Amino acid sequence: MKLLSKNLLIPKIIIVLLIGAMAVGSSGCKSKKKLAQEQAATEYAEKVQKALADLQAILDDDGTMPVSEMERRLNDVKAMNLNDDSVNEKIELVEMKIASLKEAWRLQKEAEKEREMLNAEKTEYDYINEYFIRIARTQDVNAANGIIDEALKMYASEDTPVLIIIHKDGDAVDYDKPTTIKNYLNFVKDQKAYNNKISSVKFDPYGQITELELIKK
Amino acid sequence: MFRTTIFFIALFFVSIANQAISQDISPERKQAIDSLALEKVRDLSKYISLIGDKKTEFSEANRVIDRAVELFMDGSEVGVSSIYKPEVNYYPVREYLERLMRLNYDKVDIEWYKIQYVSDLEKQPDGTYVGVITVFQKFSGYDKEGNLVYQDVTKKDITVYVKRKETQIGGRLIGFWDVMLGDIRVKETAKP
Repeated sequence: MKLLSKNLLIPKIIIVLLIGAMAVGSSGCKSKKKLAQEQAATEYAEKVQKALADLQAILDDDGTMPVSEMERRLNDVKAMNLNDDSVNEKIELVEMKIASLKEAWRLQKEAEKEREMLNAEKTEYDYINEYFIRIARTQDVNAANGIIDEALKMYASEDTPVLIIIHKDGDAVDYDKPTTIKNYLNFVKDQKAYNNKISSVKFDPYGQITELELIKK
Repeated sequence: MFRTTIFFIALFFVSIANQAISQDISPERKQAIDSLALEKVRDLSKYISLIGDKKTEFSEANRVIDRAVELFMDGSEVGVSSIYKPEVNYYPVREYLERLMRLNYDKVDIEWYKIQYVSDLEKQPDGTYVGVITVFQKFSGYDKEGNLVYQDVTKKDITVYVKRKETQIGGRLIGFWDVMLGDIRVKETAKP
């Protein structure tokens, strides 16, 4: 009888031990998963915070950060794929800021280019334009005629052609009726106005003007 | 019935032709031509003012007359009116300008204003654009004491012709718009 009860007791103990082991094992597994989840959540929150801080830094920048650096930081944040509403909202704001900075930069470059072209034109043809402007502003006819005689010395002849562009669309160019430099200088004197700018000038080997092309302002 | 059919077919082709005419240049280009023609009238306005001005030297006035005549088509006439006479006399352009230079006043002021299209430039079958520009001219004549002895305001209509032409300059073909003024007709004359 004792032997029988002993025989029964052993499996019972084993079963209890097994259940106990399983219970302990299960609870250990659960806590590890939870721990991992908590860790992941913490890491995600940290990433979100960092992303928000990076994006805010771009938004708060007052011009010290180059646009390329802004783009690099933005791309880093986007690569995290955080899928967080507040981050996505800031990404949009940063994208808008970068786009507007790029547009402003493009416009600034265009203006600079135009200024450079005008300055180049001004420097190159200033001395030719100067005569037209002086003639237009001179009230006394004899004084104006003196400037005309002086101006004519720059040209190969009194009959040097003057072309005036009235419209240009690509290669298609429309001109006013061609005239000669003498007539044009007198025209400026009569009308007391010079409303064109120089488009191109042709010179002979002696540096005298053989053709003048003007364009309406 | 046959005549009616022919009429409608003809009407159809005329409308197609008109559409083709109005579509062959861009609005920007047309605007440039419109402005060019208006500018020629403004140039004439300045020339007339210079020719009439007693302070303009004789040689200068004659040179300006030559330039003014160049703006007109051959055979064009200019109407002359007065508030004292109902009829309008027409003179060839050069004669009109020479008479203007010799007017019996000690000082003459001629001012053109409200220079604008009364009839837009329209392309004709021969390719010429024709329009009418209206101007108001205020004429003031003074005696040697500087007293105003005559003054009127005349509304005038100027027909303008614009044609595309080509010429060779420096070995290249230049396409230009030749603006020619036609008759200047008096529409009304009144005291200012």
